Order: sequence, then C-alpha cells, then structure tokens
Amino acid sequence: MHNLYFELTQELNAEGVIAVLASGQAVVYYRLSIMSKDGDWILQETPEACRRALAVLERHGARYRPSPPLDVRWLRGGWSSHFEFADPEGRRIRCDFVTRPPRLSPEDLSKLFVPEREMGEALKVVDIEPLIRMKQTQRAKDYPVIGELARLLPPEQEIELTTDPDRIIALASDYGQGSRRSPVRAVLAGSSREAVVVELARESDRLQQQDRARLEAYRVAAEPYLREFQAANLGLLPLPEAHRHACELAERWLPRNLLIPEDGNGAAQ
Amino acid sequence: MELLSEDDLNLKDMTPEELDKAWDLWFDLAQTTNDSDPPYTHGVLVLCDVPPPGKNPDERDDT
Repeated sequence: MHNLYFELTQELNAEGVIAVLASGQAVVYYRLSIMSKDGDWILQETPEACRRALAVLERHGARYRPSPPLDVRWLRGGWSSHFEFADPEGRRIRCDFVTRPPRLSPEDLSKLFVPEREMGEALKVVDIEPLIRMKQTQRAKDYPVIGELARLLPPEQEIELTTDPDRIIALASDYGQGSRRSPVRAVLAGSSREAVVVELARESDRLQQQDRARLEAYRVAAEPYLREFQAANLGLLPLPEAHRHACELAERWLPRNLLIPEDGNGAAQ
Repeated sequence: MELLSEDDLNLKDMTPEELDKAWDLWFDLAQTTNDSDPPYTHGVLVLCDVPPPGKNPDERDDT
C-alpha cells in the first residue's frame, strides 16, 4: 500500500494546489527517516481551500479532534485544526492543518502556492529550509533530524541551519565568514570542538524554550473553547455538523489572533 | 554483512515501492502505541489536558 499521507496530499490538490505536505511525512518524502504517524499540511489560507480540505476529510469519514475549526478566521491567527479517521485497514490516520506554521516568514508562505510551483511536481512537499524551521520545536528528537535535513542543502545554507558540530567545523572556514551563528563564530575564533558543541546546545535549548512558550500561550487561550468542544462531543459528530458547531463555539470562546512576536525569522507565532 | 537498526534503514537507495512497503510495515507496527502516544505532535497545536466537561477550571485536580 502507498503512504496514505502522500495519497491524501494528491487528493487535497486534485483541483489545484491548496495543501503542501510538511513535518514528519515530508521527512519521509526526503527519505531521511520514518518517524511520524500523522500527516501535517500547510494549507492555503483561503475559505475555498478550507472547504475543499473539509470535503476530502468528510469523504474519508474523518472526525474533528479537539481543536479550532478549519476556518481562516482562526487559522490566520496561528491556530491549527486536527482530524482523525481510520484507513481501510483500520489504522489511525491523523491529519493536521495550519496556514501560519511557526517560524516561517510571510515570504516563505507566499512561495508555497505560486502558480509556477504547481507545475511539474508530482507531490507538493514543503522545501527543506522551511521544513527545518518548522522542525525547530520544543522536542529534542527533532534536532538530529534537522542536522540530516541540512545536509541536503547547499553548504552556504547548511552552515546556517545544521545541528551537527562536525559539519559546522568542516564548513566554517569556507562558508561561515559572514555567519552570525555563535557555533560558527566559535569555530572561526579557534575555539575547541567542545565549545562549538556547547554553543549548539545553547542554541537548540533557546529554540526549544521559545517554542514551548509559544505553545503554552495557545494552550491557555484555547482552554475555554476546548471545554465547550468536549462538552458538545463535537468529535463524535459528522464533519459538516461538527464544523458548524465548532465555528459557533469558536466565535464565543476562542480568540482569533494570538500571533505573538518571536525572535528569529519572520512573522512566527 | 551490514547490521542496521530501524533508524539506519537506507531509505535513499530504496525504490518508491520499497519505501512504500517500509513505511507501511512501520505504520502497521506503530499502531500498537496509539493509546500511549503523547498528545503533542510536532510544531502545531494539539491541545491536551482538557478539563472534563462542565468542570470549573478552578476546581481542576492537577495532581
């Protein structure tokens, strides 16, 4: 059987590109690791894209998981929507959608759905550099993957994103002169390998803490809405009905815009 | 003889069909941990620890 998440990507884009596969399944696509049971997509931020995605999900018998509605009014505030269904073999399929993924700039996002990109590619998958930025999460296990993903980039980009101290040491003299990364500066200053490793660890920890703070703000803001969502058992309702109710609840209980400033790249959440 | 762990599968040299099979087998096996999966997945928000319906947040038992 094919990877169902790849097939879903094709299905979502059957009438024109609205969804780009990201995160764990993108890592599978780039043949680095099989590490995710869920599918994550960056959705085009339009009502039409939401409508089409909901139609695809409904065809598969999906139900809402406790999460904000798949509606641009909340998606543009950095919220994400989550769904679940069983595949023909009874396996759990989880589908997550976001239109404003963390740490991606408006420029990154604007490149995803340009007409030129729609031509020629069999499967719509997020590019490696934005994928790396999405992977800069609070989870330690994402950072070795970032090192592997970075190896697929040209060296001048790799040195700005890799988490591998040996690659930084190898690339610094040729490609790191203009870099502001502290691990790269450490190499160029003649510091020990241990010092480079320490700088990398500090950098990863800072990224993890930023992501944790971002998600905590969303968690707190979502609590009243989620309580109502659970009380109404929306996860048990057919998708169109659940979606309608979720929008009604969100209007009352979920703030639309929670985008908070973040250091680093672009208009992240 | 090459001894490879699951994490060292040479995905790059697989044909598309082999990659599909490898993923399919892994996905089958991974179903066994569905009930114990952490509620947080990757960089988007999967909310967890939702209070029971009808319970006031001030009455939550966080122990």
